[in-house]
Amino acid sequence: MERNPAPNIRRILTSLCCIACLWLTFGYASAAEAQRMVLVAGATSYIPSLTPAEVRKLFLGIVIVKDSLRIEPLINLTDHRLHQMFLQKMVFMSSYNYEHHLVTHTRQTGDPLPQEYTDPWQLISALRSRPGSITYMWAKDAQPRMGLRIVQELWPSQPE
Amino acid sequence: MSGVVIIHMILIPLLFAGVLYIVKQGYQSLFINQARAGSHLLAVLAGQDPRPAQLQTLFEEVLLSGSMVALAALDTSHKVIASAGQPGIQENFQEDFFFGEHGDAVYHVSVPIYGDNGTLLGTLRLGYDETPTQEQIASTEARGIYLGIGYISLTLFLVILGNKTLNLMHKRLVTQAHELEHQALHDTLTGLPNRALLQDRLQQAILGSQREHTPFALFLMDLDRFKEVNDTLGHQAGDAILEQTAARLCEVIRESDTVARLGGDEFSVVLPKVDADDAVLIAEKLLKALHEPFVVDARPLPLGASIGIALFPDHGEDASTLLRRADVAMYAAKQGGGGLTIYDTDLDKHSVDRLTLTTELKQGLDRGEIEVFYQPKIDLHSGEICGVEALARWRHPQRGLVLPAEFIPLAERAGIINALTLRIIEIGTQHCKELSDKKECVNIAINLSPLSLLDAKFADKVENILHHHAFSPCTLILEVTESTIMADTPQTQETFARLAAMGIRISIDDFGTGYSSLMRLKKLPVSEVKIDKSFVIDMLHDDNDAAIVRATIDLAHNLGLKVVAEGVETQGHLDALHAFGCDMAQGYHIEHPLPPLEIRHLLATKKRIVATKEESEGKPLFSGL
Repeated sequence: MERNPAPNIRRILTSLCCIACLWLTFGYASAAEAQRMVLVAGATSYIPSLTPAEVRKLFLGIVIVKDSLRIEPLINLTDHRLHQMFLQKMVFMSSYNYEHHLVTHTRQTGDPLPQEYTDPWQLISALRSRPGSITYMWAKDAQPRMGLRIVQELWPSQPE
Repeated sequence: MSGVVIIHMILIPLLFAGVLYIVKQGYQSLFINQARAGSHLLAVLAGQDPRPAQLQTLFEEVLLSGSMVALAALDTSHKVIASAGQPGIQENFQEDFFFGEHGDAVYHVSVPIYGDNGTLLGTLRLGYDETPTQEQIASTEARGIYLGIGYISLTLFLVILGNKTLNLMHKRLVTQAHELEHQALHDTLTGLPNRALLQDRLQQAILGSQREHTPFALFLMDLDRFKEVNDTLGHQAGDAILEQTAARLCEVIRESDTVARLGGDEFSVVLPKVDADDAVLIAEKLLKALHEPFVVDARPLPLGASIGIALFPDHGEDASTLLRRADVAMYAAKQGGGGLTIYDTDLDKHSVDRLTLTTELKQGLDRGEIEVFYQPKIDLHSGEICGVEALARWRHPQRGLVLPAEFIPLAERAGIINALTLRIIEIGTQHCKELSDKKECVNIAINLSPLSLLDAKFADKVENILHHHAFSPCTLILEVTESTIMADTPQTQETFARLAAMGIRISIDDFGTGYSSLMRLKKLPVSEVKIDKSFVIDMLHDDNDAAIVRATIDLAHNLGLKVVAEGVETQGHLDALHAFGCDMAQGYHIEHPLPPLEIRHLLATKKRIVATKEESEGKPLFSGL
């Protein structure tokens, strides 16, 4: 008995639509957005904008309190280039010196080391679950529908 | 070995590469840190006084430090307001975030310039020179590579060398093991199999003969008079004789036979598939080969050999029995004056007797069973008795009087010949002293074993005996064989010299049977020679023997020596010797060896040979008087 080909075509079209949606959701980004680095928090977070010096201090392990909220930095290691860009633009250190600095600071002060994330979903989950937490991302990845909020743009710098 | 090679050839170079990588990362990290920190500081400085002229001055100062190749300041509209170094840095500016990115040897950094109030004033575009760091990394990598190559080369060299050394050591160990095995199973002097290997070969011969139902023969042999030669001419001469013996034996036997040296001058031959007749033929060949004089230091030494033969399975079915029975046969051959003897059950009895007799001889020596008989010597010019030869007798409690031919070899084998010699000297001097006390002064001649001359204290012992009996040394004559006197060992020379210095005379016994050097004879303290009885007995029938006797007498006289002829058994001998001008004579025709009482009586009568050939009628000259 010959099978009806209609259900197969429908299935293929549905699959293509899903792929397109996913690409629109995660993959699409303009060339400009690909070069933009932003500071991101959870959507429910009310962390205000920080100065470049505050961002630097925060990620160097110094405690920053804004509106009675202690801000917790999360180190984003999901993209090596992003991390290097952050170190170059905001921290002004090499990755080796940065790690060395954090370890030394922790040893001197007893403060915990900033948590590092290599898995993007775990990072996003941490940002959403901890309102005081903050990290850096490419602008294209910091989508509101992911439950994230862009606190401010880090690079290219915008006049305040 | 392979584990070491893997470690040195692979793992350690990998370790080198790892260390190089870490060093490279360290250099790059240091460079990036300096670039990032420096750009931040420069941006702060630029923000404090952002006027173009001031920025230009600042840039030129920074450029002089040598770490940067280009600097540019851009305002917010991306217009260049100050620049230094390589032109065009602002054109196609591509920021670097990794060392060596974009491959242009310049690390580009873009830094925002903020004013005092935090306003963005513009951007700094900086180009750091990566070349010095790249050169440092390249230099380090080159050193690391050279070091690695050197290490691998050295390791390869050592591995090859080590391998060769190990191979060499292995070969040496194998060679040494073979040598040790050879040494363990062979005699070092002759290279022949030793007793251990003989036992093995004997066992194999037994198994082979049992399997194939064939007989085989075992020879045991030793050299006659070897001990005498060894003791008098030294071990070096003895060793030379043993080496020649081994060579001669090997020439005679087949390749399938085994010749072994058991020790001393004792050799053994295993002859597979040989019956009694063949064994005798081969033994005769061996005897013939050994009968030829051995030559040591250009000196011919005739020795001869005694061979004992035991046959499998007739005379024994195991190795130890065959060896023991071959030994019994060899001893019998020796007792018979050399040659060969096949084992016989009757010989075993003698073997046991021999052991018993040796034990009894030791006891007899202590118990005073050794007696001395005296055979007179006459002066052929005056016909009077001029001396006696002391001859040992053993008065055995059960066997009666045992002759020296039977017990002297036992004493030599048992190592008591020296004590026996001293005992005879003591008894002889005691008897002669008694005679001299009765105004019957007589010379006494005593045979000396070669072993006595090797005893450093022998002369002292003789002196003590003479002193103890107040006996005049000039009446004592010590007889030594020709080969003994020709020995040139320091100890023999010293003993001779000391005995001569005491006034004791030395006589060469059995003269003519050995090989004397006239030069040596001239130098030695010898006072007389005794012509061997073999020449004297046959001189009436053999012109050669007569010529030898005559020549010996002339030679001795020319050297200033007295001549004694042994073996005078007929009046004819006596007359001939008298005609040749011989000085003294001794033999059964004159008198048999007599016990002390009888010789005393003979001397007391001061008898003189007056009897004629017809009167004697074959009896001793003195017996009828």
